[in-house]
Amino acid sequence: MSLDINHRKEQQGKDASRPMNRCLSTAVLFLRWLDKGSYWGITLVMGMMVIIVSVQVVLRYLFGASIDSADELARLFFVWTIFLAIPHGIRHGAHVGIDLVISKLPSVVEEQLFRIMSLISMFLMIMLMMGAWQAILDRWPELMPTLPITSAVFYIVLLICAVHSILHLAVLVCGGSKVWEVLP
Amino acid sequence: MTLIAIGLFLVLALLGMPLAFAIGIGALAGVWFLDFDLVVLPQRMMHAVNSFPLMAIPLFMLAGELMVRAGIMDRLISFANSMVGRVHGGLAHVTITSGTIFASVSGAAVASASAMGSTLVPSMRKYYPDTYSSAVITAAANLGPVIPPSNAMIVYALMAGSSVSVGGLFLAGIVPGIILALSFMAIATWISWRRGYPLTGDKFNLRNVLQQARKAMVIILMPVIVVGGIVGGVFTATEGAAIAVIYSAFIGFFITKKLKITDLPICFFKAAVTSSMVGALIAFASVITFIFTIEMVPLMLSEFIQSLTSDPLTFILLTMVLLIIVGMLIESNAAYIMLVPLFAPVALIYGIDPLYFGFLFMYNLVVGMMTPPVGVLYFVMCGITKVPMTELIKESMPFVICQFMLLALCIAFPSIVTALPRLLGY
Repeated sequence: MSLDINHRKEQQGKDASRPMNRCLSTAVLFLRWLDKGSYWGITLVMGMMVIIVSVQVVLRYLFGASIDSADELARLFFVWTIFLAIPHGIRHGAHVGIDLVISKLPSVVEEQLFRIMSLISMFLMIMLMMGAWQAILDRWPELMPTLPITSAVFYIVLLICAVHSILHLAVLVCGGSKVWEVLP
Repeated sequence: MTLIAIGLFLVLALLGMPLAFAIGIGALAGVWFLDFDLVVLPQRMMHAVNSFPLMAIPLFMLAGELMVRAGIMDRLISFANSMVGRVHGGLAHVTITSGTIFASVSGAAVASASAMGSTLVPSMRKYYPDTYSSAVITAAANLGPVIPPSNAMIVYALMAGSSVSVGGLFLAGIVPGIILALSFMAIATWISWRRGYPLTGDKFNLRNVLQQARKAMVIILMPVIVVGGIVGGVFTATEGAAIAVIYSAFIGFFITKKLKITDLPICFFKAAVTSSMVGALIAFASVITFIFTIEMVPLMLSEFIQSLTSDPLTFILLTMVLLIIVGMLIESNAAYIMLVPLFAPVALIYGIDPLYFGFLFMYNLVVGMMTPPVGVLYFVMCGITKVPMTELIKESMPFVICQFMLLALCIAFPSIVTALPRLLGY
């Protein structure tokens, strides 16, 4: 297996000057920056979620008070946390799958299947992106029950998740399963 | 239509597509064939994830991350070592004891496996082969969803609706969890004695035990406060999880003093990515569940099962066999989302205690985390110790059989599950 990876790394090195690979390297570089931005975005929304729920607990049990919009805001930040993190799960291979069948196939076939599955997943994300866009347009005039903010804000993160996932899946389709290990 | 959606999902999943996306494609096919607008997809996904109770999952994950960064594993291991370190298979006992205590902090098997795998494997390597160490850690980690707090129980309660409370399920898990931990210890002793593994740890010394217990007390107190508060009805599971986060941060910053402000972003990120795996499954699976409802699958299933048997016990046995198969093929969270809305109402029709059925359902799928081919814990442990999966599965078999034996015991003697919740008014 490691020989196979080394061989692939060498091959990638030889092919580095090809326009396709230059394009892929640029895409990976761009995604690294995007992921970094998203990393801090996740930290922020997760932090806000923790603070709001904690403050609400402290206020309720120690001071007998509560913030009206705390529940809704916490849910908003929770939704943003989950959907911002899904593309990172694609990059880090965190989404669970069954490899019983494909692990028995020759590595070339396995790799091709991986790319096809990534392509189909990309199609799903494109459909999600279109649906999320429609949902944003539908919800834009509505306000959240306790805050003067459009309720479309819940769906904006779905759109971001879909676009970010499409980019990650496109890189996997073009570069294969080891693209994050091979490219600088 | 339901069959096409399920068939598509199974084919894509077997071809290696992540389960969440395979479910998503199945759901998308359903949306198309039923001629729904595409907007149904994001709407159902948002409807499923936009939930206050679900927020407990990332919060408990975060509490676990903070605890690990705070260096609590060292204190847990020292405490467990002072008590059981000198018994045959001492380090294995230390692992199982630490796993039991960590389970009452994190609520998730994967988090427990990562935390224990990275901290205990270096020590275990000195005395045991990697396959045995990995098997013991995998088994100990699987105590995570059985002993409260448990993310699996939160998801189950959410999907089952008002018939089951999170607090009741938490209490239902305590006795089986303790029985399981003790059974794992018995297996570890037997294997270590039979294979002649060397004794580890210091000789038993009461003074040392008390000293280590004092150091570990802050950690042991956490589940008492959090789980006690939840089952006592003082606060909700999400609020309890927030208290767990505050408590963990307090321990890390002021007691062990190992947690730094700069550690927080990575803790937040790790908890978020792990939770997003569950979130993606829940989001996409909810669309399939919606299609099931539109196609009246729950009603058809209910009628079909009732035509097979009118005996509640036969229904439970049939469900358990089905769940064993499902647990082998589908990740547990996806299974809760798709199957709980189908089976929980049928169990009510049969007059089965929803708490009892809920625990059996959840526990069966938890065991599924250690049954191939989709044994999530095996993936985690193989990633840490680089042990071949086939060897790890073989070595883990005694622990898996033990878990199934406990399932049989719980079916035969329901009071193992229900006595404690009933005693405390659930």
